[in-house]
Amino acid sequence: MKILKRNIISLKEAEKLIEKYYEGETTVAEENLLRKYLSGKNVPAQFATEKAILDYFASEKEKKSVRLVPNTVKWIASVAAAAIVVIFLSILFNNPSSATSYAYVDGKKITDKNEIRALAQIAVGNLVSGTDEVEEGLENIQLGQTIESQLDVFAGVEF
Amino acid sequence: MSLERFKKEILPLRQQLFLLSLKMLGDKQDAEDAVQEALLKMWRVRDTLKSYDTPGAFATTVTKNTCLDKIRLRKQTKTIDEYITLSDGDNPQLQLERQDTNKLIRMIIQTLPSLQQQIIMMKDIDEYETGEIAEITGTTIEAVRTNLSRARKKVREEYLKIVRGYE
Repeated sequence: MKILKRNIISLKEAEKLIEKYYEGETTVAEENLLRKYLSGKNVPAQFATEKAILDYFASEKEKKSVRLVPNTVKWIASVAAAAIVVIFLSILFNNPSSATSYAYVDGKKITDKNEIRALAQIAVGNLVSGTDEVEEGLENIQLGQTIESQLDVFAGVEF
Repeated sequence: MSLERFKKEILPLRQQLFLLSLKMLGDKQDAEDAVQEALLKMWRVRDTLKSYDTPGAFATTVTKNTCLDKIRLRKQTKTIDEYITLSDGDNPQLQLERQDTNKLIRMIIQTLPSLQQQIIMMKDIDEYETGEIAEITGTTIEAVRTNLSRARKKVREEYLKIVRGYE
């Protein structure tokens, strides 16, 4: 349509569009064009009524779009939050190998449980070898329990 | 719900809804208006229609309520002058609001027959084409255009009457 291509209408074209508007014959594009014309500067006084009516519809459209935006944003935020929780939980529960026991020996991180147990046994053995008194006391202690409890103290969980 | 699905599932009920409206209102034109209005109301909530086991029962309820509203309105039809007087009273603040053009136009639209209100809102606010409204209501483009034209001319006429009354 010639009028729509130009995007600007003359007074005569505005008059024609207004006539069509009241007959219910305008398309949405033509109504938007007319609204644009009437919201411009130096609108002739003869169009004051049409300006008032179309301004009212424009403000209602604006209210409607303002009402819609926060809901959309809320919806996107909810989906994003839910996705983050699901990803976090799936990493946590579907990848148990990432939870490891470890100990530091002479500043070196050791994650192999058997190696930790062996080193702990050596350490405990060194402790008790020097003193009879200690050796005596240690006889009453279950060696395995000591090692396990030591492992509990030194071990941690890594994500 | 898409327009295609609406046309397939809801529009076939049109004749049944028309007969119900005719029985309640006793006038063919009023019944036709009530059916179009009920269909437009259902179109507005089309996304929730799938949650009803029987959309037919829902359509009947909407149509019945639309007819009841029309019967109620017959008993208390107000002119725009009465409407504004009722809204404003003697409250000076409300008298100031009367000068607010948007509020005035909103009030004028509220006095239109409800089918005309629905059509003018769909066309001028929701930006539906006349042909689309005709498809939704299962009526002709000409019928929609006539209602739309009446609504728009009435808004202009009442607006001018009030504005000139204050000049």
